[in-house]
Amino acid sequence: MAGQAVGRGASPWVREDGAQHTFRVARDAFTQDSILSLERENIFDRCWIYVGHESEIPERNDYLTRQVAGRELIFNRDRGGAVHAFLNICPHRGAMVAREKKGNALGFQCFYHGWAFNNNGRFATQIAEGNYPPDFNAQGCANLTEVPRLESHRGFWFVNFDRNACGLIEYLADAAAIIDLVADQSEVGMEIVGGTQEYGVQANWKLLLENSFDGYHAITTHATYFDYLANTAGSMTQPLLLGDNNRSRGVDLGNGHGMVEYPAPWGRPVAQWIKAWGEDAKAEVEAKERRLVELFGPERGHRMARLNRNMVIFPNLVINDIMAITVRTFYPTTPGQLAVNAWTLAPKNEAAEMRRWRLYNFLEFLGPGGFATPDDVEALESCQRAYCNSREAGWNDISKGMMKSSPAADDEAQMRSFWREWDRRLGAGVAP
Amino acid sequence: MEQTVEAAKADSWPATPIPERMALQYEVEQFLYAEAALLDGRKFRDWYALLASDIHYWMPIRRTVTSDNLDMEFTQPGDMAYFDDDLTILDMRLKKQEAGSSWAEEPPSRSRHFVGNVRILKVAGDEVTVEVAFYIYRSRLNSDVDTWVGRREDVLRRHGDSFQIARRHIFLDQTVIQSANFSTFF
Ligand code: FES
Ligand SMILES: [Fe+2]
Repeated sequence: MAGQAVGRGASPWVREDGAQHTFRVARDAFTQDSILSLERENIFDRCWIYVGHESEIPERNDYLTRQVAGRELIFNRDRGGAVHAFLNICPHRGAMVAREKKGNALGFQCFYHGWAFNNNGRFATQIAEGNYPPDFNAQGCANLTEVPRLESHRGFWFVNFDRNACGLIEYLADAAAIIDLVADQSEVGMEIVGGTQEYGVQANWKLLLENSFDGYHAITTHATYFDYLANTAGSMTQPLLLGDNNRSRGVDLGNGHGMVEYPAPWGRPVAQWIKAWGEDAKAEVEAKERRLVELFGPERGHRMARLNRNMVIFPNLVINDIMAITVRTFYPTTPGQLAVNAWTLAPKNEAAEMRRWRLYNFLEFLGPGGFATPDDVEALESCQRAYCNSREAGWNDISKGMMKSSPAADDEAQMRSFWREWDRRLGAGVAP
Repeated sequence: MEQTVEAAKADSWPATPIPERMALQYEVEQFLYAEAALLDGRKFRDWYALLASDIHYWMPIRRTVTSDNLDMEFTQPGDMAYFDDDLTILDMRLKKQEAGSSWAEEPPSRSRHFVGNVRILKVAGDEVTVEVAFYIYRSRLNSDVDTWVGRREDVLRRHGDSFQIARRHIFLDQTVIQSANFSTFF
C-alpha cells in the first residue's frame, strides 16, 4: 500500500484537502497490527525517544530500569558520573541483567551464570583459563550493549535506536525552546518528584497522544473539574480561554511536535497565585514571577508564569506545564492497548508548602485517581471500542480551525502537525 | 517492612482478655461490612458521613525492588502517589459523581468490596488501628472487569455507638496499575 503512494492526498491513512479545509484520518490507523509494525519500524526505531530525567539518577552509580520503545533499558550513571543507557540483556545468553526498578550499584550481575559488568557496561568477571580464548572480549562481545545514541537537552535524556539519525537538537526543532520554558523555572534545576505512575489503557497510543494536547475536549469531558474550580472558593482566577485567538494558540513546533498555549483559571506554582493557597504563598508566588521577569524579561517571564502549555514531542513525549508539570510517555503494547509512565517535575529548591500544593494540583487532576484522567481514559476507550465500525464509518475528522490563519488552543492544528509527520514517517503521502 | 510491624510492637492489645477482644472484633467487622455495603449500594453520601474531618485517604505507589531495598518499595508522603486526599478532596470526588457528567462513572459501574483477614493491630484511647485484606471487583459497561487486591490500614475512631474512619492507607498488590482508572473508593 505504502509503496504506491505518489503524493500528499494519496496516503491511505491521512487525507488532507487544503481547498476544502478538511483533514481526515483513517480509523484503521488505530486498530491494525500492520500499522503497529510500521510504526515500530519507522517511528519508534528511528525517532528520538525520551528515556528519563537527569534528576532520577542524581548520584554516581544510580540506576533505574525502564521499558522504552519496546525495549528493556538500564538508564544509569557510572562511577565517573557519565550517563549511559544499556539494553537490559546479558551478552551471554540473554537473561535480564537488572531486575528491579531502581537502585545504586557499582555494577550489575546476571544471576543466570553469574556474568558481571561494571556500571560503564564493561565485562568484569574472571573466568578460569581455558574456557574462553584470551582475547575473547577484544571486540566487546561480553560487554553490555549500549543504545546506539543517547543525547540530552536541559536534563531530559533521549535515546535513538537509529545510528544515523540527526542530532537531538535538530530533531527537537522549536520544541527545544519550550523545554527551556520548563527547565528555566528554577535557578538550581528541576527534579522528578519521587515515584512513577504506571498504568494501562485499552486504547491505541495515538488516542492518548491526541488527547494530551486537545483543548477542544476540556469543557465537555472535564465539565466536573471546571465546576469544581468555579464552585470552590478561591480556586478560580479567570475563565478558561481556550478559544480566544488573541490569547490562546495551537502551534506546529516542527518535525511533528506541537503544542497548545493558553490562560487557565487554576493556580500555577510558577507563578499564578490563587486565593486557596493563602496570603503567605501569595508573596512567594509573586516574588517568583518578579524574578522570572528579572531574569528573562517581561514577555518571557510572564509567559512562563501565567500561560499553560501542553506539548507533544513526536512521537510520544508529553510535557504539560499546567497546574503542575506532567512528563508522560506511553507505548503501544498492541494496537488496542497502551502502557503509560507519568511523572511530575518540580523546582529542586521548592518550599515545602508550595510543593504540597503542586502535588495536590497534580493528583487532583491527573492519573488514575485524578479528577480528569479517568474521564479522558473513558473517552479513549470509548473511541477504541467504536472503531469496530470503521469499515462503514471509516474516518476521524481533525479539521477544526483549518480556515484560521492563527488557530486557537481549542482547534486541531497541533494534531494535524503530528499526523502529517506520522504519515510521512510511515512512508505514505510523500513522493517515492 | 510495612508500617504495621512497628504498630504491632507498640500494641498492648493482645493482653486484653478474650471476651473483650471478641466484642471489639465483632463491632469492627460489622462496621467494615456495613461500610462496604454502602459503597456497593452506591450510597456515597452515607459513606461520606462515616469519614472523620481529619481523614487521610492515601494510596502510595509501589515498585519492584530487591529484598535489601524493601524500604524503597512504597513512595512516602510528599512523594508521588495515586491518592493523597483530605476530606475536602473526598467531598469533591462525590460532587463530581453527583454531577452526572463524571464519564468514568456514568453510567455507574457495579462494585463488590470484600474485606477479610480483619486484624486489630492497636487500640489507643478512642482509636482502633485495623488491618484488612481487600478484594474489590468492578464491572463496568458491558464487559469491562477490574479487580484490585491489597492491604488497607484503617484507623477507626469511636463516634457515638459506632466509628468514624480517621485514616485509610491503601497498599495495592500491583506495581503497574492494570485498570483504566480508580473511580471507585477503596
Ligand atoms: S545469561 Fe547471563 S550469565 Fe548466562
Ligand atoms: Fe483531558
